[in-house]
Amino acid sequence: MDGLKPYILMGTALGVLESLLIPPFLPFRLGLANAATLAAVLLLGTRAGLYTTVVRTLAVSAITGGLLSLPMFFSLAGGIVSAITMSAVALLPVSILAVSASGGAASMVAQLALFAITGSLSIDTSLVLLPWMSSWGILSGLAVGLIATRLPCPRAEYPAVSGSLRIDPQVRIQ
Amino acid sequence: MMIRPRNILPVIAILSAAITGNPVIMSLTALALFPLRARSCHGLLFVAGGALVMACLAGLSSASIFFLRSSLLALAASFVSLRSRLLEGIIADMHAIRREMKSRTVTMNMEWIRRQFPILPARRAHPLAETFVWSILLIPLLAAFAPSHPLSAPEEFILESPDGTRILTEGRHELGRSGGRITVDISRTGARVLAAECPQQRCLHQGSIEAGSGRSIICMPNRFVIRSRRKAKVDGWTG
Repeated sequence: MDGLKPYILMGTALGVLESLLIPPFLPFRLGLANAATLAAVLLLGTRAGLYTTVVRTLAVSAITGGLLSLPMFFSLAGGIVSAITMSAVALLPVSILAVSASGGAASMVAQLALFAITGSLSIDTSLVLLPWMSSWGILSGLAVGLIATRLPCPRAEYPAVSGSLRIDPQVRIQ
Repeated sequence: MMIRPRNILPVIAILSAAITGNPVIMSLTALALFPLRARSCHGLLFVAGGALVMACLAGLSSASIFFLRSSLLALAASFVSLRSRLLEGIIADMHAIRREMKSRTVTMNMEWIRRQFPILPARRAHPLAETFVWSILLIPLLAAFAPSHPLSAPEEFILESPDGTRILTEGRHELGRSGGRITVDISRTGARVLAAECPQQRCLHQGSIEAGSGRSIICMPNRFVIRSRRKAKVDGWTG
């Protein structure tokens, strides 16, 4: 995949930033690094978003010191689910904020489901937490969407349209 | 390097972030730096070089390490913003390119265009689709009000008396002054008055109340109200 490096770099920087900003014992995380995933999904497609998510999660956990730990796998699962959801929602004609909010909510729901499956939370407790966590996911998704619209994205380069391909409209058939 | 506010500001921001050592200021700095363009990069390089020199001179104290780290972060941000535009601008570009491709129907087929743009985000949101997505997002929030949700599960009975309000645990309770004493039986599913010393015995006739029903038993001589209450239960957060 070409052109993924800036997104991975951005995602790692944002993730490290968030780990500095928010103490690690809080269950509520903002998911700032999701902004890079959102940009990659919107501009390069689903597969690029998934690559970005996986690599930046590994990189962030390596930097902040939790490589291959349990929270890393939870955040990895949440990130993957949110990337898939965002790429599905982006197929509809909706705003970027709606796309990122659905991604945030989906990651929260996925993490809760994983908690319930692995048994670190009981099913009742995760059901109790579901509305709170998903509303937090929507809020953080809005914040992430606002940040993502300010993110610098590398210029997409399409060789097919560069330079001389602008042809005369007279030649058009059909 | 031109001296302009947009070239000076990031330097000041990084310096203040490094000096105060505050992660909040630092993160705000980095966010403010993201949309910057190429030229400020030189100033950031200067700051990072200075930080490196300072770290070498002072030995790797924690302050200089923090300084180094923050300037490296900002440096990465500015490198990323070197050849970049904001997301919406790029999406507008993609739409323009796609429109142009569509107009040239001689050589292009739609499959090729689709391969070029794996996901083409909408420029303007359609209100119907927007409403659809947001209403789906609200479904988990509505789950809080479902009757079978544990958040609205019936749990406990409270006793309101002139002396105050307290929670009645399961079992039998002897309540009230002598002469008007009542015996209350609390179980998981309901509460009822077993015996009363007063002549009218109205609390006995009120029967049993179900847990979570919101109903109550009233004892007039003692001015007691026994009420079932919904209780939000969040325990076992850590398992």
